Amino acid sequence: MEINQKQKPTIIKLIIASVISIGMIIAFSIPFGMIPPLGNLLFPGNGIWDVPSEVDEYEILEDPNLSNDVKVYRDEWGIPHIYGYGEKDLMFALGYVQAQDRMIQMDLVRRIARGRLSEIVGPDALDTDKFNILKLEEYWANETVKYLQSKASVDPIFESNYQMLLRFADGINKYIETNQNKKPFEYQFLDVKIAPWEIVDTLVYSKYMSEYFTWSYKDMQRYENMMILGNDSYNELYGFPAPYQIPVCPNYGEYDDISVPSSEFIPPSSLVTDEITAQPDSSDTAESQTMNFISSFLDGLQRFPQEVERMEQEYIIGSNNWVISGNKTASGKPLLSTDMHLGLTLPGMWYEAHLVDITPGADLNLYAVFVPGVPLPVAGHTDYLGWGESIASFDLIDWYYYNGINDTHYEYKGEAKAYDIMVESIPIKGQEPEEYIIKSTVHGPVFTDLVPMPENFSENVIACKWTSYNITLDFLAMYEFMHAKNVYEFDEAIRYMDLLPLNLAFGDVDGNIGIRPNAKVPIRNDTDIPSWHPGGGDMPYNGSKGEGEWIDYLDFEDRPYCINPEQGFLSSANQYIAGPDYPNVSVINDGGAVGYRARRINNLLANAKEFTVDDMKTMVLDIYSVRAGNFTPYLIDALDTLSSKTDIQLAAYNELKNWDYLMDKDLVAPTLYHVCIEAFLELTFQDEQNTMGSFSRPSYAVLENLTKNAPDSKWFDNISTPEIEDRDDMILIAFNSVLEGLEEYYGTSNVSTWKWGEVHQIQIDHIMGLPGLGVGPYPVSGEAYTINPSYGSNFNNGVVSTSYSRSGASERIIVDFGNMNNSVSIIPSGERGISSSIHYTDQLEMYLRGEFHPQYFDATDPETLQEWANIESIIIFKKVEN
Amino acid sequence: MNKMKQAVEIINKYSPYFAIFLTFIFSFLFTLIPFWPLAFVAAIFGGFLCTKMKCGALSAMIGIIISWGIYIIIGIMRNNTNILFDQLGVLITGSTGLGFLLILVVLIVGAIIGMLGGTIGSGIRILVEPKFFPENTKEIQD
Repeated sequence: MEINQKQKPTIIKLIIASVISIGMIIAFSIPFGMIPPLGNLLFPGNGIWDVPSEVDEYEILEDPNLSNDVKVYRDEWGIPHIYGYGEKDLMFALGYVQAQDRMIQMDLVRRIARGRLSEIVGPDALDTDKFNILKLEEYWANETVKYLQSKASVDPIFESNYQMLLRFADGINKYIETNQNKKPFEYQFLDVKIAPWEIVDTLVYSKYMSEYFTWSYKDMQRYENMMILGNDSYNELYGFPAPYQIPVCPNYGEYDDISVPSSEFIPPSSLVTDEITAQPDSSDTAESQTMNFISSFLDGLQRFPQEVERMEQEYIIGSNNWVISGNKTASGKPLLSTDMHLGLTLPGMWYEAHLVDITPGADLNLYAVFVPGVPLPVAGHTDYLGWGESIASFDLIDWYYYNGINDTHYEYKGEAKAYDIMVESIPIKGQEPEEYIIKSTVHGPVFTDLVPMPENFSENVIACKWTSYNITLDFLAMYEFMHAKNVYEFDEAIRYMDLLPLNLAFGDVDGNIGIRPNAKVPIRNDTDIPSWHPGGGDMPYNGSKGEGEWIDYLDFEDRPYCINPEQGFLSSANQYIAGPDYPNVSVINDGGAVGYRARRINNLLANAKEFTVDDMKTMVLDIYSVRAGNFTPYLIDALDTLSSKTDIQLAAYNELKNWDYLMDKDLVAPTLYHVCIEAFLELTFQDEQNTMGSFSRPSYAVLENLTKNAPDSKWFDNISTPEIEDRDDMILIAFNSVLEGLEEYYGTSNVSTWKWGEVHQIQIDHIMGLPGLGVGPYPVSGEAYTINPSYGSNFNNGVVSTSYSRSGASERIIVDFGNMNNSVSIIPSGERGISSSIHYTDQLEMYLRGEFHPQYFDATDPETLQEWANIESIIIFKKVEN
Repeated sequence: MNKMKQAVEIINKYSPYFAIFLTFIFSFLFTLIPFWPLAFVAAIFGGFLCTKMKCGALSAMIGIIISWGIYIIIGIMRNNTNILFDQLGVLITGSTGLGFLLILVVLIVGAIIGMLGGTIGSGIRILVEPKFFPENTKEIQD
């Protein structure tokens, strides 16, 4: 026992050390809220030490289903150039490299679209999941998969597409299988495993894109505007056609610049009762109840950040594309430019890749941008043709309101009709799955069960009908794009595009150019709608009465398009699709963009001569503001009416007087103009908004029209003052208010320091909003209405603030049909979505400097590519026998 | 037996160095296995070579610091992992420029793991050696 006595201190020390050690192991092995176990995350051999910043310089992978070896060479921007035998092999490799670079992004989007976020982040995401499940994207993607499988055995195109989608999924799963322990940083932080990829994940991605482009609450906002303003004022501010629209298709006539009539002011109290009548059975009470119901629904949506984002993004997403025929270019062959304006995130929205089928006699050489998770090209070019897209302003979603009868029935055409019921199980991290019941009317899923509504509307119901609630085959169109040999074959392939609303601009090496705004556009039965309802799905319909039923879709043959126009160019910038001579003009024009970018693009292209790729680059980066050019002279005229100017007024006046309307970040005049026109719009309509109700402010094109053609318009009068103000009074009030605001913002009355770049900046956030993984802010030139766009508001309720643009050109591609190898592109991120990679933001830096990179398109074999490009890594996918 | 005894004597004489080396080797090898508590095991192995607890704690601590230090340097040089630590710092604290501080914290935690593991390893030896190698006990007691 003597030895035990001597060992006693040792035993005590040992016990203490062991207890502390066990404590440490436990402490570093359990999560703290959203923070995963720190030991697994931070310690060598674990977590973020295993995140591969860059891909291996040389990698060999085996797959038994390859027809031959496939080689992938990444150039100095990390862009993969894939050389393989046959499309299926190319798709396998594309799936692998996309996953290697963008797995977290692909996984996140499929989870959002399928309503499976809670599975990785827990119950906090449950409401978001439920809302997304209501959008039925997963349901209809699954239906599309079933349809594709059933057609694959009888139709070779379906078979090819099915096989490609399968092999693409195989490629992604190869990555998942071999890299489960080398996951991106975000996975380490979320502490989750990557689930295998299925075909439905790819197809649900298209549905999600469709949501991004078309999901809209504009119908309800228009309805509110109509109810607040009444017919005449509504039509004056929002009516069809909007002023200054140059249609996408030039072959259906032009709109006149219509003067907005300056009608007598009608007291707000009389507006609703006097103007919105006509329907004999629609009493004021019924209309105001519907109005309150719709407004309550819009208020309830504020609880869903994604839906709020959808409402806001309607004002920021856009795009440009244009194509010029050979008679306006130096090479005698067409040039094409495309830049889609979307939310800018890290990783970026697009993935660049070059695919070459090296099978002898094969005919596929493709350089394009892809959506990560989708194997088919969205914009790009082959040896024969090229294409680009902008979002087309079709209305593809309608909202219906109903009288609910009870939990199981609602009123439809005078009868009680039972809801269709679906039950979904939502997996939740750390909890049992939750069953979610989805009720649907004849039109679509009911949203009022999820969106919180006031008690008095508990029986009322809102549902929507959307073109995405269908089996959709856009992937067939994209597949055909890769194989078309000229614009006519390309145009024919667009027939399959029945999901995404796009203005497709295209050209070929034979010198043809074309444009086709396309979507599966519903035709509504508007025969029994109230007389104030504009029809065409512009406002919500009374679903119980059977209003606004979709009776058909516009035939492909009846949709507007234009090939080889006399003017020698075609362009789109989200404006009206066709002119007044088009027979279904009210069916296809859904507001769209204000039209400033279209006006500038058309102006530049009309004067284009001997255009080169460099001219196209200059045009893509153009920061001339048509809005400024049309407003600033009126501002200067108004200032000229002042008998004397203060020092600060004079300094601002001189800046504006000598300005060429370029929204340069280093200039002062853009600050003065931009803040001033925002204040002008706000002050023109704020008094009526305060008195009548919060209708949305009309567009700047309407303001421009009022400014030019109705200087004494009722809208310029501030109804809360006894004086009658006119346009110039309002401009001067706005100007003085802005000078005060800017002086306070910049902290100096020295106008020469009020640089645009200080108050207008660009910020690019991480796709999950994780701080530290985004970049910026950076000062940036341009504004929302320049060809090179950046968004943001600087004036709100009299206060000047910095705007942070989170949107812009999400890619820039210029195709030279005279020499395809001369084509260039850039994306505002980098190819690789790993935040520690040099390719996370390398292209973003170039993008901000206005640069492009070559595509090495003519490198149709690895040897040529190695000669031209700086090869960073090689992957060889080897065929092995089973 | 004499050779064995001689070997034990040499190990005992240079035990701190052997302990550092053994901890270093094992902890470095264990970074290949994504299960971080193995660092304790490496330190226990190293500490076991020491006949005094202070020696075990110190040696294993140094062993882990060296192996994790080398691992960290390689990670930073080859994989820019410091960028991820920077980003993690922003994510957790909202402040920038904390990457190297976080890495230092990891190294300090590694040092503590080494110290604790080394203490346990040497403690185990002190306890078990008299039972299995009584002939060494006297020297150990010394």
